[in-house]
Formats: sequence, C-alpha cells, structure tokens
Amino acid sequence: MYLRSKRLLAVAAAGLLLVSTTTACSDKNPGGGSSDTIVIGLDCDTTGPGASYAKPSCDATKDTIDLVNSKGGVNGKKFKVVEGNDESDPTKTPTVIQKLVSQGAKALILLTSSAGALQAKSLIERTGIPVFMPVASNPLVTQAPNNTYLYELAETTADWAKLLCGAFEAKGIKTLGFLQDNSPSEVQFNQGFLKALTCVKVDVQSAPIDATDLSAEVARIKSKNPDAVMVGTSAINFEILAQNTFHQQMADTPRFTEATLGAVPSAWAQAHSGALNGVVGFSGITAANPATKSAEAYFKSKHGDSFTMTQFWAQAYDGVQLLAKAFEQAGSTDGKKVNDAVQSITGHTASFGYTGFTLSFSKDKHLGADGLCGEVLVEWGPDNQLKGPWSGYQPDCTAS
Amino acid sequence: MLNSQLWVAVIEDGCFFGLLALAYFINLIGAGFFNFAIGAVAMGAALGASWLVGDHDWDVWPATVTAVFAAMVLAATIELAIVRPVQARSGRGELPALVAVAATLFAVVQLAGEAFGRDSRAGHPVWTTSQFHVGSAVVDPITVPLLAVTIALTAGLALWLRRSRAGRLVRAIGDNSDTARTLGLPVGRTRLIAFVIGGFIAAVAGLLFAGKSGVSTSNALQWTLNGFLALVIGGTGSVWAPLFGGLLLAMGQIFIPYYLGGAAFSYALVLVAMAFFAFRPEGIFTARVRV
Repeated sequence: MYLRSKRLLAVAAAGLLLVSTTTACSDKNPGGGSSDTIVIGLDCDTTGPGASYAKPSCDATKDTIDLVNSKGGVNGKKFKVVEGNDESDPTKTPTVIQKLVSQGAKALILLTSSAGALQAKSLIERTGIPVFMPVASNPLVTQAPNNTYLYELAETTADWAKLLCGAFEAKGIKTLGFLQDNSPSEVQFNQGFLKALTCVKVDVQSAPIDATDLSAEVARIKSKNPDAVMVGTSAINFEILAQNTFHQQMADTPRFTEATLGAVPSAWAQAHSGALNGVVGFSGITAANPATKSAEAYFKSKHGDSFTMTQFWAQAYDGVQLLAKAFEQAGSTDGKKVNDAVQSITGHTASFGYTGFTLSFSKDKHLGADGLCGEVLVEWGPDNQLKGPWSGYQPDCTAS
Repeated sequence: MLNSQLWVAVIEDGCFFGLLALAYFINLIGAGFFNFAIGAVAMGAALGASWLVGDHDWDVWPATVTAVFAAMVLAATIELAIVRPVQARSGRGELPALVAVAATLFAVVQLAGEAFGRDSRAGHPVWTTSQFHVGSAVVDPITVPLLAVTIALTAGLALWLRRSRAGRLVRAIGDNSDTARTLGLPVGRTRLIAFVIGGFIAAVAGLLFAGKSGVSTSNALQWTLNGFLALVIGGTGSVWAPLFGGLLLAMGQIFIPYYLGGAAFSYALVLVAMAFFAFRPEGIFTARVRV
C-alpha cells in the first residue's frame, strides 16, 4: 500500500498537472458572409472567469442583432454572427480574432477581458475593421498606439475614480481597503483604476479568483481600520464571497464595489441574508431614462417579464445599434469606410446612464461617453435587492 | 493565531477539504485509484440541486436527494465507462486511466454548464443554522452543519470499513487487487462500491459548501485540487487522515495569507507540496504493516 501510494501520487500529480493545463476553446457558426449579409464577429467569454458578465452581454448582442435584422437589416443586408470564445485568456484573444476575421467578419464585438484586447491591439490595427468593446471599462484599450479601430462606450475606470472621489469627499472617506482577485486581467484592470483614485489612501489585498475563503484578506484589511472598503473583481463568485466576508467582519464599514455585482442580478441570491445591505456600486441604469425603458421593453419581449435590465445589456444593445448606424452611413462593408463612419457618429442617445446621456466618437475620441452621466451609483437594501440610486452621492446630471 | 474568526474559517474550509479528501480516500483504498473527477462530481451535485430548486421550483430535500443520487450514478459511470475499460486496455496501467479521469473532470464541467447554465448559482443546503456569535467571531449558517456532517460521515465510514463485510472487502481489495482477483474476491463490484461511496461523499461536500457563497462550473478544478492536496498532506493511514489533512491545508490557506499576504500561500503551497512528495509522499498518517 505504501509503495503503491507513493508511485500513484507521483503519477497522479504529473497527470493532473498535464491535464489541468489544457483549456477549452470553441468556435461556433463557421462560414463566411455572402452578398446579402454582413458578418459580425463576436468574441464571447461564455466559459471563462468573465462569463458572469460576458454571457449576458453576448446574449444581449445577439438579441439586438435579431432586432436589427427583423427591421430589414442594414442597407438591405442582414447581420450574420460568427462566434469565438477566448475564455478571458489574453493569450487566446489574438487567435480568436484571427479566426473571426478569416470567417469574413467586417466588424468585431469583443465581450471579454480588456487584457485580451490590449494583447491584440497591434493585430486589430492590421485587420483594419472596427472593433467595439461595449462593456469594457479599461481606458488603455482606446488609447494610442494602435487604437485606430478600437472603441468603448461607457466611462472608464478613470471616470469611476472621479465619481468615487466625489462620493468619498462628500462622506469624509480618506482611507480605503481594496480587495481584488489576483487574476492577471483583473490586476491589470484595477491598476489604472487605483492609480486614478488619488483622493484616498488605498490598502490593496489580493486573493485567488477561485478562493474558497477570504477571511484572512478581510482580516488584514480590518486590521488597518479603513474608512471604507471596496471589492474589485469581474468574477461573481469572488464578489459574493467577498461581500459575505465583509458583512461578517466589517458590517458597519461603508462598502463599495465595481460594476460586476450590479450586472449579475441572479447572483444576489447567493449572498447571505442581508450581506449586501448598504453596498454601493456602479450601474448604468435608472428607472427614469426612457431610452433604457425602450431597450428593456425589447428584451422583456424576448425573455419575459422576469427579465432584469442591467448596464451590460444596455451597453451591448448600444454597441450593435452603433455598428448598424456606421454600416448604414458608410454604405459599404469596407473596413476603413465603416471606421470613418463610426468616427462621424455624435450625440447618439445611449440606453444607459441618466436621461439624455449621449455617445459620440471622432478620430481622437474612441471612448463614446459624453461626460460622467453614464454611470449611476446604486445601493443594495437589506433584502439583497437593488434599492435604486444611492442617496449618499450622485454626479450632477440633473441638467442632462 | 488568536483571531477567532480565522479559526471559524479554518473549520469551514478544513471540513470541506476533508470531505473531498475522504472521497478520494475511499476511491484509493477501494479501487487503488485517484478519482480526479471528485471536484466535478461535487460541483455537479451542488449546481444540479440549485438548478432544480431555482429554475424548477423543487423543494430542497427532493432536489438534494436527486442530486446526490445523480452524483453516485456519475461516479459509477466514471468507473464503469472510463476507468475500467481504459485500465483493461492499458494492462492495468495507471497513467492512461488517470489522464482519462482528469479529462473527464473537464467534460463534466462542460456538461454541467450545458445542462444547468454557466451562471453562478446560490447553494441550497438542507440544513443551516442562524448566524451566531462565539466570542467576537461570527459563525455562518453552514459552519455547524459542515462540521457535524464531516465528523458523522468520517466516523460512519470508519465503522463501515472496520465492521462490515463489504468494508473489509474494500480494504482488502484496494491493498492488492491482483491477489484479490486470484482469490476469487468480487473485485469489480467492490471497486464500484468505492466509487459510488466517493461520489456520495463528494456530493454531500459540494451541497453543503455551496451554501457559503454559491457554486459555478469554475469551482470544479479548484475543489479537485483542494481534496487531492488534503489527502496528500493527511495520508491514507487512517480514515481520519483526510480530515486532518484538510484542516492543515485550511490552516495554511487562512493563516499564511493573513500573516504574509495573499500571494504567499501560492509559494508556500509549492514548497509544502514538494516537501511532501519528496520526504513524505504517503502523507502524515501511514498504514502500519506488521511484518
């Protein structure tokens, strides 16, 4: 038994390591376009760490493409989708993009980690077709170099920092405990955000994205006695575990989060009773915006009355509408002409943010948001459901 | 080490890792095989039960029983459809079957994603307590059930292995299946029993722990590794060794990041794993053989 166990352990360890390095990558709907179709390539992380937000965004994108097609398409041509999945693994993103382009894609929508887009920037520049990241928030994506064809819609993390600084100053918060998952894409994503968060002193703690417990990391944050705490992750399991643990150890400390929690309403039930009470996070949705209501009505017609509108659904909806507008204005599927058409779009009414919030692009403006009013700070209640806009602080968007 | 809240976390994680390691343990002593699909079986059971409760309005108990039964069937299928044929074709070689079972882990993850969706889901344990305080520490609703069930299952398995005929067969055949086969003992049936019991324990572990913060397909690989490491640390010399290994692993996972920061555990894990493989691959508890 002893020798057998020893040999088995060695073989088992080697076998497990070997197999654990294999990953899945799938491509669906192969095939190029024809004269009556415009092929749109979708890179959707439906199985990786970003799937919690990417999959709903992907569903929203396909639904909106159906909507565009049901209205006759663009210039008489229907959108046709080819799909790949890079599992939010930056090393796979270039391969997926190349595959989608080889399948005839005339524009790409990336619903995956921004780290993947950064990895593929030079490739995207060479493909010469517009690439939208409707739900991304990393400012580096649309910054030079190699940004000719890359576009984002909503405020980036630099704007989140501006918004939060307004809130922190209003609440007298000077120190912040920040808990993030340590996946490379998340750490890179948060670096820009934390760098811009100059109004507070931040203590950053990191833990594995698949951690089974965060008590130690939260205890370290607690030992510094910060004025507020914040969670930064795109993995919803990590987010819920973090919120449960903060509620357990630091229930009375003001708690903030990024955009993941607001984007995945189905996960709120995973939190312990009352664990989300008082959490403040980002969401681009207000009940008052008629453009949001219009998009919501369409999605409800597809998914039933139980459908809950989130920022990512709205942004994905806008991404497709913007592409349709660009193809229509270009009157062509030529990548350069479509890209020029994207850069001529101004004042497009967004389906997210406060009423009247618009998106505009130009040669030098690849980030659509016109101002800070695309983000709404929202608050969760004791029933772990969204209460609505946070009464503690809001940006001045009443004029818009 | 005086932070009582961290000890609560050690008990939670330690019991969970211990249960997963116990599932490995029964597979190992009954079939001489590391079932690397254990984490996927645990995840599948928890996700399946949540799917039945959340999407199909089943009551928690029937959903739990169904999920546990499905996990046992899955474990039996892994033995009958994958391990046994692969071992038979490879002359009872270990590596082909181990690789096949590790690949099965990923297949189960994909199947679970297709069947129950890729979304993360809330856990629905059949037994939880109200949150309560012990001194300054908050004890979560799953902590007491996890501790009680872990002790009960480990003690029950110890008794079964020692007192029942089937249990004694499991121990005898796992020690040397070739000799057992020569003696005409029911090797195939006993291996199957070991796999099914392993599936049962893994399912219970997954169902209980999912109450902590939910479950998703992405949990499978980490749970597999946690159970495996707990068994490596604890060893196979006693039924209680997996629990001991689980608690030690949890202590490392909680206290090393607390004192040295989040990344430190990853480095420590490599060192601990290398030390055990090099100096004590049989784990802390070893079987005593009278010569």
